Amino acid sequence: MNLKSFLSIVFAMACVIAVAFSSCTSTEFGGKSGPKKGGKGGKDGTDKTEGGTAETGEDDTDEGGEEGTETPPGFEPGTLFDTGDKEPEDPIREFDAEKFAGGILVKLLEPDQKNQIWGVTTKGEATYMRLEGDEVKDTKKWTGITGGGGGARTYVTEGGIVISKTGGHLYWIDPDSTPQGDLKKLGAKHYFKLNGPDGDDRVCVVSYKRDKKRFLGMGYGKGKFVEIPMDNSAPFAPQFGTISREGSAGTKQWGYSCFVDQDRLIYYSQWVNMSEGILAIDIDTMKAKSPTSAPNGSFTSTNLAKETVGPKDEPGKGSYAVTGDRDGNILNGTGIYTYGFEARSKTIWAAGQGNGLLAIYPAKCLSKEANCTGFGSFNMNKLNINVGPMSGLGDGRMIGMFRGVGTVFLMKLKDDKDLSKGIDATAIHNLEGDPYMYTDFTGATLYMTKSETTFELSDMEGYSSKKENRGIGFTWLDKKGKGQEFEDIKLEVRCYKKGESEGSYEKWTKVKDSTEQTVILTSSCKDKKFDQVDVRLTQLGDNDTLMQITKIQVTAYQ
Amino acid sequence: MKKTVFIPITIGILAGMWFLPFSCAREPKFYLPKVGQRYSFLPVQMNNSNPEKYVHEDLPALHITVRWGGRAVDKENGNPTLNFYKKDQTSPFYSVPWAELETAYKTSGCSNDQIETLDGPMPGVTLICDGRIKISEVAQVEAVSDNGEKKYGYEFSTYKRSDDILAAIIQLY
Repeated sequence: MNLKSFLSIVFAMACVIAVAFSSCTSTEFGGKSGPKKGGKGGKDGTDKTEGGTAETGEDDTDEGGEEGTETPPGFEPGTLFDTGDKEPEDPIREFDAEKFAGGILVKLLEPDQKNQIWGVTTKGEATYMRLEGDEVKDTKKWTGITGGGGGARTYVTEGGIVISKTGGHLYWIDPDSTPQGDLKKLGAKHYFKLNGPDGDDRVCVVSYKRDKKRFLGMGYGKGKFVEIPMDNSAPFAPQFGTISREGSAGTKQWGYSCFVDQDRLIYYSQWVNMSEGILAIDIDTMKAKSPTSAPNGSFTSTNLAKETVGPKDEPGKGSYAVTGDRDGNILNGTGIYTYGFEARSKTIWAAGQGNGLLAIYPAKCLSKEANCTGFGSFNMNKLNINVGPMSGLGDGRMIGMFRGVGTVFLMKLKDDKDLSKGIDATAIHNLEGDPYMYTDFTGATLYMTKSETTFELSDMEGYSSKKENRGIGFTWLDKKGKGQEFEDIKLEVRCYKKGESEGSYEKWTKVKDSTEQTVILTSSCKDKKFDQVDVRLTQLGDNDTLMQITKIQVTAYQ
Repeated sequence: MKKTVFIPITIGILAGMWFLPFSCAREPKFYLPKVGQRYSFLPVQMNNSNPEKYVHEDLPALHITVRWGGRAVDKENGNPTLNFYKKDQTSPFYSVPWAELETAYKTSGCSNDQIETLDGPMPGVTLICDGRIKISEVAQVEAVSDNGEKKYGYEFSTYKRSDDILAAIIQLY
């Protein structure tokens, strides 16, 4: 064989093997290719405000447009809130049709999070993923996050993330200012070893606001709890090395997973699979609290008993990792890795413990309705994928991590109102490591500083898509009752047609007290046809008045 | 094309095809979801929490899926020894390397009908028909790979695969 023939044979073999190799790697397991485009945009503070009669700037202290405190003629309010404890499960409110044409809708606040996802792997790497639409647009990576064995507890704070490794090794990252690389080399601001925890103790960290100040709180060992203050200006760094308060919740081992009820300031924690039961501590008093004082403490489901253990102290029957919802209900279920609360659809997602199960329940199934329907289960195992740690984005999307493999999935219902239409799960990133993590890596359970709630006017009884809307009414309910001032909160609205440009937010000031109606006549909401109203509320200053709002109402005047 | 080029290229293509199975065999056995890949799921069942009926009673045959940190356990990559513990016991009642357990469907008296339910060889899956493991009695599984790395499983989801086969998924973290 001459050289030419030899080279031809080698070349042809290489081509065949290369083609075969590429076909092996590109095997897909059903579903459609390609990332889903679109999704909700403009959630990263990039909205620009247009002119009109309302205020447009970012100066929070400016008074807005021409609106006064009196209700304009022709905008007499329809039926307002039932100020009792009635939940807006059926948001369509009755109203007196003789008084006005249009409709009324009541909703809970939906948190407007920062579209950020954090992944921490057992290799000691933390990855920050920033979403644009449904795609990861930027990533940043830090290393050196070490400690004892096991996973990383994470909690997204106002300015970044706190990561806790076994034994009390605490790390803090601000995604904007912390240089990428080895965190331990950045000094005490970014790494701190907490004194107290044993080598095997898990230290489960959360962040909360108390008396207009920000804190980290963490449980470890047998019922021990410590509080560390944080700076009260951005990026709200923890003041590692300062322990502001300490407390005890009991003598059971805890700290494996945890949840904080931001509204009532109760911290709950348990050991793996709730193997020793569950404990709670009142953060205000630093004293032990009965876990069953949670809103769903006495709830018993007749058809979902295994999934609704909640805060009941039943050792061995809880989730791998406990969590809760925005109402402070505790979520624990036998055989469940963890639950995740999705605020827009008011659903609770359950990841099975290593079996590929994904179940989705209306939130009421785990806290209110004893014989519940409308839930469904999905077998992700059939496509050989498996979600464990879950955390919501607050806008209909849920993030799930594939333990061991490191794939990050973005999941959402195809139809918020109809679970039977199924879900989409898109692989948006691979962490190249085991995301041995627990519950909150998106800010899903952090105290609310901003909310964005969408009202679909087509859900209103009496609304006609053929008529122009003369304006909208905004009413809010405060947990303290009637007559509370709308204090330190910025209100912005935008009105648009579904499927068309969402437009820009416009600020509206002089918002009336709780339960009283404010008529809003911004340029996009006045004398136009639209079927969507977005209401954005932003907490100003260090107050927590936004957290005091229990529900909001929009009235469409036609 | 000249004969001096055509013949060698033909030989090369044939030889390449001969190597093709080996090139595929080098691929990971486990599916790594591709970034951008979208999956659509329909509910397997509405108003039922579990895609399969969960049971807690042992059945004559046990179908096991073992995952090592999310991926199928692999005899060629770590080949962990699995130690099965009962509650409150400090010594395992049964220890077996995965390579041995993987072939238990051939050696533990499974019927052809039972073996057929395996749907062909799947990574990390086996069938045991001689009752050596009663999953209801297992409180913990400890797995030790050939380089000494340890992972543990504490709770196992079980469901009825057929009238006489109980399926269990053992996830080791």
